Amino acid sequence: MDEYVLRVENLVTEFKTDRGPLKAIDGVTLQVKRGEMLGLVGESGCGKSVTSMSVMRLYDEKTTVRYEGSVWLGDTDLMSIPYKKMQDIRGREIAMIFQDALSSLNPVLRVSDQIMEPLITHQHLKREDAYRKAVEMLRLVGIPSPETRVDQYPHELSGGMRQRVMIAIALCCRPRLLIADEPTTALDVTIQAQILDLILDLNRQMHMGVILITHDLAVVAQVCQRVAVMYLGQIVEEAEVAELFNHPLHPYTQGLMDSIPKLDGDSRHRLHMIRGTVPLLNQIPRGCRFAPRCPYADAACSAAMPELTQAGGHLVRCRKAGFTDKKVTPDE
Amino acid sequence: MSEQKMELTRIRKTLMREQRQINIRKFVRSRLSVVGLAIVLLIALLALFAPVISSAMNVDPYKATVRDRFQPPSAAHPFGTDNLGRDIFSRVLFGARISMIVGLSVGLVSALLGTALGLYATTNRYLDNILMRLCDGLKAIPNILLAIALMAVLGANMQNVIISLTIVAIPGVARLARSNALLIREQTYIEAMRCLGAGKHRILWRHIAPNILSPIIVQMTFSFASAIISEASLSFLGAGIPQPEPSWGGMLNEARSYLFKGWWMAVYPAVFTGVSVLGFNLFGDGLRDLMDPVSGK
Amino acid sequence: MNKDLNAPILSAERAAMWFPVRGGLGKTTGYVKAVDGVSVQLHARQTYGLVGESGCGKSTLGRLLCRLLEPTDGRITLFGQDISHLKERELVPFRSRIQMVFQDPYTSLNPRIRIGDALMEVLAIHHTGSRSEQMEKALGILDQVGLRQEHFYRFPHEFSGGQRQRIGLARALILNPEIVLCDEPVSALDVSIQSQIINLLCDLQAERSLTYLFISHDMSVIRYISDRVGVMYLGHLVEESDTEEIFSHPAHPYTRMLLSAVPSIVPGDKTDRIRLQGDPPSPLDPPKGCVFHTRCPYAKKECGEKSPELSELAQGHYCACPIAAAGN
Repeated sequence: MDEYVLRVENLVTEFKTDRGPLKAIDGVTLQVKRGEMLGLVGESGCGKSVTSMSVMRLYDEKTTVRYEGSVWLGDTDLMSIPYKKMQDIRGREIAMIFQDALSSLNPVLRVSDQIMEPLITHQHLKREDAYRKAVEMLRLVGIPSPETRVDQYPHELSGGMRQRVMIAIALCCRPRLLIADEPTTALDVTIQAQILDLILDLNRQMHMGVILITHDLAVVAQVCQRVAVMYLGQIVEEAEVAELFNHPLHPYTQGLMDSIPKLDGDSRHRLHMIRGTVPLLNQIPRGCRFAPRCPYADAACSAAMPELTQAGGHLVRCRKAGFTDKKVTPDE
Repeated sequence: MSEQKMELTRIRKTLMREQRQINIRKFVRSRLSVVGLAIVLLIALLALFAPVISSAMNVDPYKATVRDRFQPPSAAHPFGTDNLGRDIFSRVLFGARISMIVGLSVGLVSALLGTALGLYATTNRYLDNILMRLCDGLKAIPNILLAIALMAVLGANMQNVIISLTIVAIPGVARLARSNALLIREQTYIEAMRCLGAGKHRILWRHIAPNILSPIIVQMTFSFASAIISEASLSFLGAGIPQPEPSWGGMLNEARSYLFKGWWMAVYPAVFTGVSVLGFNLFGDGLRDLMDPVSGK
Repeated sequence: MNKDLNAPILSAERAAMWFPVRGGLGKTTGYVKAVDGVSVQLHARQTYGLVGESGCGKSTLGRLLCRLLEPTDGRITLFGQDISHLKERELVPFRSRIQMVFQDPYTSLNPRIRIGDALMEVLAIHHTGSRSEQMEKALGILDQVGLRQEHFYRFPHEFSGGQRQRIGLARALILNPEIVLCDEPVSALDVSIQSQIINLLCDLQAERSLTYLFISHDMSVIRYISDRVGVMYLGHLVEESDTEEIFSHPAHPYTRMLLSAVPSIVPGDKTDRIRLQGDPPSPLDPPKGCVFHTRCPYAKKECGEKSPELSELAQGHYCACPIAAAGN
């Protein structure tokens, strides 16, 4: 039997703004198994970060946001427990790492203090035990000479090293789920490769579920087992990695993959372009949200919103998913 | 091509109209800035028509009537009379003229000169060092002491009050302008302008200055307020605008000795000072929001 | 390739940019050697791709080439003239012939100036034409970069990132420059927008016979757009060659690692990649000898002693690594 760490069902996140409510994500459903890495990809404004923030319930629920749907962590629905109880979940059950490691670390506290804090509050360790654990965590995330690094301040570490410290903090309470929000976007490729290796390695060792949020399809292709592609607050396609990258069914996924210059492709043909730009959230098109930019769309596409349906091992939100063929290049 | 231009003129006109409407809406929506504008206008009108109003009400700001000393507010003297029997209402009106002129001149001139100093300080390290040390030195001397010293050198009249209070206000503006300009200077668009061949002055005044306007406007409302109050202190020490010329500050200082005998002597000038400072602050805030194309829409 | 036929239109010879580091009392305590003795040559109508990780000095080199910075040492030659130490005012005539496009579309436009005014201002700086001629030109250039005339009176914040980058391009091109230095012009953009801008850059190059210096950290983009590629590491040019050659036969260990670190979109690809250990050293205190030897898996003892020179491996393929040169 599959053991799901996290099941998000029909999650809706609606922001209250001066000009009325704005649905940043609209009916997101996804599951993460134990030991699985799920990639959540999409362009800016697609709602991938909002999804993770909503799962953690990090928005101010009194003033800014309204949720619908449920988020099952094991047997508890995080959306129905009191807000106060979330503090016990965050950091202990679900941990998160962010893109900007420098601003996520407190500049005036030593690395040791920042790793020890969750250990002391969540696991009630004694200070000296927590300190020993901190050194151990730094060794685990591959920081050389952890005994000296543990007493340093964040500004004394390089960018890659800081991201390693963030990972150490996130994982020190052995969470069931790790949400990594663009963990390598600010890093150089050689450092990115190191960090991805590390996350992959830890995912295998600690057998936790990982949601990797990124705009970089190639990163997902290298480390994840399953991928969900988001567009304008909805999941438009979800499949196993090999399946999705070899046979993308949704025109948006196809367009994204074609528009990336390849390291080993033919460099003298024009790059594929997805026409237009991502609409603003208050100008969401009727029917299929991708229809205005889709090369295959017809009148019926704009008439009704397609559901996420099974097709050839994928979940895909497109009426024409079976008919569109990657080989046929439509006019631009 | 001309067709295209006409089309463009049309777009421009609609856009400008839209912008105007947005601006008005933005301004009106923040009720407080409208209140601020109303206050400022009201006081300006009172100051402008002070002689007309006074003579219509048959009161004179300069005429001392010993018999009428310490009259409480009444129909003849709406704000009462002072220790020399002069009508406080008309003195407040005439005082508005002086306070407004002093406050506005000091606010505007110090904002302009301070901004210029702050901007040019960012262009050269040596100039920066000299100017900023000078500002530090000036700031180290208590404002009022500096103003008194300057008045002693220059001689007591309104023009010199404005000059010395402006000199006192400049270092604050200059520091503020400098620190904000240093932030803006790091923006890529400044580098882009250099790359396009724009000269130093164009970059400073067209590209940096408008972007540091918000804090300068706020500082200007502060300078305005403190100028009114400093002028009062100067008058009190006999280093300000000479008697019998009425100014709010001067009146307040006179009233200090008679707080129990004639509270009205202090209350009315104080209320007017406070309300006009408030009015300028509110108006300044509204103005600042208007000038920012990004805020609200 | 045709280097002998026509001289480079823009070149740097052993250019260096050392930024002084000041201590507490304004005393210079050391130098950040952002660029340290780099020579590059740009030929007309070509695209030179400059690639490297953050802090390698590629952007600084770009700013040296268009003289936003004055080199500490070495020479910058533009259209056959030495511009290394010209004053700001003397540079103005050159500005219209060499322009720059910046990385961050959000900070590269003045938020308080309408797009049309910003474009016309560029022409006003160079005293080109009457106001109505300037307007015509500004409208023309907007059209060329794929914007509409109703955008003329809009403020920057009303545009998306991709549109802003088009505006940045319009501003650079309005003076009809021959050379455009592109500093990571697509790095801040989403993939679907990135491809639009890259295609636009290619189209404009063909239409206007432009020469590009294309600075990027993205190997795939560099490969797509460049004719010739230079790889920088810690202020040094470590390898330079024509694009096909460098991507099919990378010689310098750093180039190889860089290429193997790029994740591929094909799942399960590159399981055998060579991992680069550790972090790049600080440019404030670069290693002695070869700057790469602290992370190089092939490093020998002598690598830490002598700074290697670029040597020609194959025709037009230069590499600053004696081991690669010998073992190839």
